[in-house]
Amino acid sequence: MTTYVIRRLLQSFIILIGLSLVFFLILHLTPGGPCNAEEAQSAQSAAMAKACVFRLGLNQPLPVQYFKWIGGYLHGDFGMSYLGIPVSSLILQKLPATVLLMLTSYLLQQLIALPLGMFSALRQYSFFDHVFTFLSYVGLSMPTFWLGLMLIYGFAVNLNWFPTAGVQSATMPIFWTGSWFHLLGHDPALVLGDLAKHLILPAITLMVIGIAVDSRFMRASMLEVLHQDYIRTAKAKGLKTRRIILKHALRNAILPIVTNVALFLPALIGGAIITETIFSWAGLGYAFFTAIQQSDYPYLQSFLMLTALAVLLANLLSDLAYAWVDPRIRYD
Amino acid sequence: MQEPDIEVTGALSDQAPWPMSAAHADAVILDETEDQVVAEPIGQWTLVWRRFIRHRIALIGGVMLILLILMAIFGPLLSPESPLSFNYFAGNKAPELNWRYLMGTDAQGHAIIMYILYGARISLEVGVFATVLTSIIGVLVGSIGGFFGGWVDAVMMRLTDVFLTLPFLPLLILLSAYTGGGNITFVILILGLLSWSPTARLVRSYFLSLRSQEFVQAAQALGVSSPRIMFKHMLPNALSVVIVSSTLNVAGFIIAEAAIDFLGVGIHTPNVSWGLALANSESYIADGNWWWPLFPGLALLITVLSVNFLGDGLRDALDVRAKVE
Amino acid sequence: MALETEQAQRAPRQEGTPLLQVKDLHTNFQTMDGVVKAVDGVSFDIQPGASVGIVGESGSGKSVTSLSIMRLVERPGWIPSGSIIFQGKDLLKLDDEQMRRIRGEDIAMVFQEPMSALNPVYTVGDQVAEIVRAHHRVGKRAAWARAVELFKLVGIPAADRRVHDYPHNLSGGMRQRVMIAMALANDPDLLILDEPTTALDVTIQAQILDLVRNLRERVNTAVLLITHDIGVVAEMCDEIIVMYGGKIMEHGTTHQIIDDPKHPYTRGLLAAIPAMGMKGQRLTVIPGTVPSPLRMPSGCPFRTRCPNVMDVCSNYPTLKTLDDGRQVYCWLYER
Repeated sequence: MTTYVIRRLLQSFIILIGLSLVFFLILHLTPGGPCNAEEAQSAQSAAMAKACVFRLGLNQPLPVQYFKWIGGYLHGDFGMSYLGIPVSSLILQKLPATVLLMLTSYLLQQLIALPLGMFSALRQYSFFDHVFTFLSYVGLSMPTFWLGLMLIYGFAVNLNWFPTAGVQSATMPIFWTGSWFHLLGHDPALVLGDLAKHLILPAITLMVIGIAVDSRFMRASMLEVLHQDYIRTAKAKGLKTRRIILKHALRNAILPIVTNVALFLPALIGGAIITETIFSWAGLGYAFFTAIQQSDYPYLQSFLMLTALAVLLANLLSDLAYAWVDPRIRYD
Repeated sequence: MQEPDIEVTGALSDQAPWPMSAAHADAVILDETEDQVVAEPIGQWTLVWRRFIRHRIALIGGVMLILLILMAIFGPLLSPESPLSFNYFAGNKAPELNWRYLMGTDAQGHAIIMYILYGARISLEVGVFATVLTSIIGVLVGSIGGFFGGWVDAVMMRLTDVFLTLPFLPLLILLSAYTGGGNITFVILILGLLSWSPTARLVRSYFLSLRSQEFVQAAQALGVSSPRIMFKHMLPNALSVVIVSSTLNVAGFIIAEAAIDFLGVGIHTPNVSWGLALANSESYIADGNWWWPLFPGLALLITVLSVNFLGDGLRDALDVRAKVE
Repeated sequence: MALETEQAQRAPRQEGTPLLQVKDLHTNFQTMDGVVKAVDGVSFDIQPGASVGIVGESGSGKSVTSLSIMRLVERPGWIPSGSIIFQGKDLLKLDDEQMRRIRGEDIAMVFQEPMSALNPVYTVGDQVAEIVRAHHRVGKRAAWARAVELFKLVGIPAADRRVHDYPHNLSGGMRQRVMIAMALANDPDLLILDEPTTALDVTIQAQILDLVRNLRERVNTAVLLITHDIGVVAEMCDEIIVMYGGKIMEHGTTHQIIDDPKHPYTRGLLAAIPAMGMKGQRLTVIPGTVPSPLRMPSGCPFRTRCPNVMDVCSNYPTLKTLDDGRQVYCWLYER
């Protein structure tokens, strides 16, 4: 088991090195760049561009730049964002909002999707099942950004139930800065209520596709399990239907969902960029989008590396979780 | 032995005690059992076709897609105006029963229906061509790895692993922003280069299992050349898996392309796409002109829905799930 | 075949109320191309403590018959008509809860494939203890103790440790012993064994059959054994039912069927068994294949392969009781 984990970590590390090269080359070989905007407009701006290149170290040979950057990572130094603050502080500053959004939407997504899929499988070919199947197709085909736009239009602009953008109202203290002291003296219900109000529309936007994917997966998995011989055995034993479903079917049906958790992370990250951008949600994804516009290479590289790392770790964790819930699987 | 009289089963009293559509969904397809005596042998593609047309949802998807393709071809002819025309006086008009104003107009006075008719082309082009590119790369990498095995396979698979871990949407946004956007060929190239790895894996695992089968070994023993075995004997068998995964790719690519247009890093005016129409509407959302974002988004939704319908039907008709396992 | 005289003389129709009476049972399956009559008018009785075997090729309807008795036929299958009277109650008329109480308590079943019939994610002890607790108000500890006891009964070595194993830790034969332990947990009145040895190696097969035979002496339960192997039923059962095309072809004591088969199909089955001292001789096989269930010939289903086929065979014969008490479905014995 330990050797397995170590081997997987080593593999992940090698992939990560490969990815760092890909990211680096993509950023440095594509046209444009942080000093490009000023270039070629006038002699003065050409000089500024040169100064800019020099200041950011972009005049050094690419291998030198690469090893400087990757060497920094090994020391925990993510570099300096072109905004003038260390990338690590920028990430720590933006991370809570993203984690809040992703976690809320993902938990709600599972809470809705799994029972929905299970119920639909148990009532296969019923009216409910047909409606479910159709809606799940719609959910699956939904352009997230359009959904977000329409939600803003309907519930924020028209009905004015929710704010159109942001994580919190300007009057509220920031919900997470690493300590809680600054929250003293504020009514927690007020702060949380304000947060929830801002959270609802982005969370819905982010989870719709996930609900469709996961509930369909759950339905298919449940249907497959229900046709297994051991379910027939359970019936032949005279177990109550509820027990057959909740004990014998559910545990087996949920096994493949466990791996699905990790597979869904990349889609969740992608969705978060779009959702955060639509709702001006001050998280990592929105920062990524603005960093693209400003050609903030250090931040972009760090974001991509973090994303890849998260995906690799999630894959490993889900494989381990799989061994934990399924007694048939042993790694050595 | 005399020929038996065939008893006609399925008289009314013998109907299944649940609605017929459900009965059929449940029913076993008998012509796949081995010991079945069938009057005439049914060809594989005949069987696939029979299963496909029985799949109601797939048929709906197919028909809708044909209509969409016709719209992509003839849409510009039907459009009341070209993307370059301006009519400032007719800006922000709500839909009314009139071809030009059927879906209302945007702030600049462009008819929304013009966006719908012109935009179909870009969505379908990106979806189809990026999928073709993905499939070609995926099939090449997967079949070479799966066929030759050994170190070739190891190299191909590590490469696939790296591409599999690439964060798709962030890189797509980044690359299309930095390659100047606006160029549809670039978008297609980026999509294809970023997404071939799942197809490669699928084809590889399929080739690995095929390689050990007798007909391939027989061909090898007869001295048939490797590329010929791969593409003449093995690929047709792996084709159904590729077709199904490709269909689902089309849906993903259409959405992805619209997303980058929406974020403003994709196609620019004067080109027209559904995602771009949505992007333009965002700044005016407080004005309350719901028709502006509604119709382009619906067009996207319906297109992707049709592709997904078709993909599901093909998956069932080609019986891919059973084959992959 | 060596049979105990007492067994051999037992007639299929005994005095007294039967434990189980299957009357004119029909079970259909919906297919894409029409309705298949998997079981087509089957009737037989099982006396308390008796052992009855159903023999037939795949597709003869023997397994579906046993599933129908348990009411485990599921979509796309259904039971349009017939009755299954068990201890005076028609099982087909019970509600789901009443039927549930009978399954695993009064009628228990062992399935063919011991790997897939056990739930892979629970220990075998748990799965045996569970059937005890499904029907009796006993604590977890008592149920586990019963499981260990049952494991010993079915000859599983180191029973107190094996109960903590998962199905994949056990061999095929051990798994089938677990299935039998499970079935015997609540001392059922009827034990249905559906091809219990088909998926096992020959030596393991013999062990399991031995086990069932020994258990029958200790536990007084009626046994319904479903198999395609007429040799197995000859060894295990007092009575044999031969099925073909969803219908009963012949039904009699083991002695009658084995030593003096009447139906041409039974004769064909017996001729296809290799016997001791048959070296050098060719085995007779029944010509042709089982017809498609959708294209069953009218009349006797066996007539397309029957060596004694007559013109009248395209009409339906009746299941006629002969003078010795056996039943035959064949025009040769009409009138």
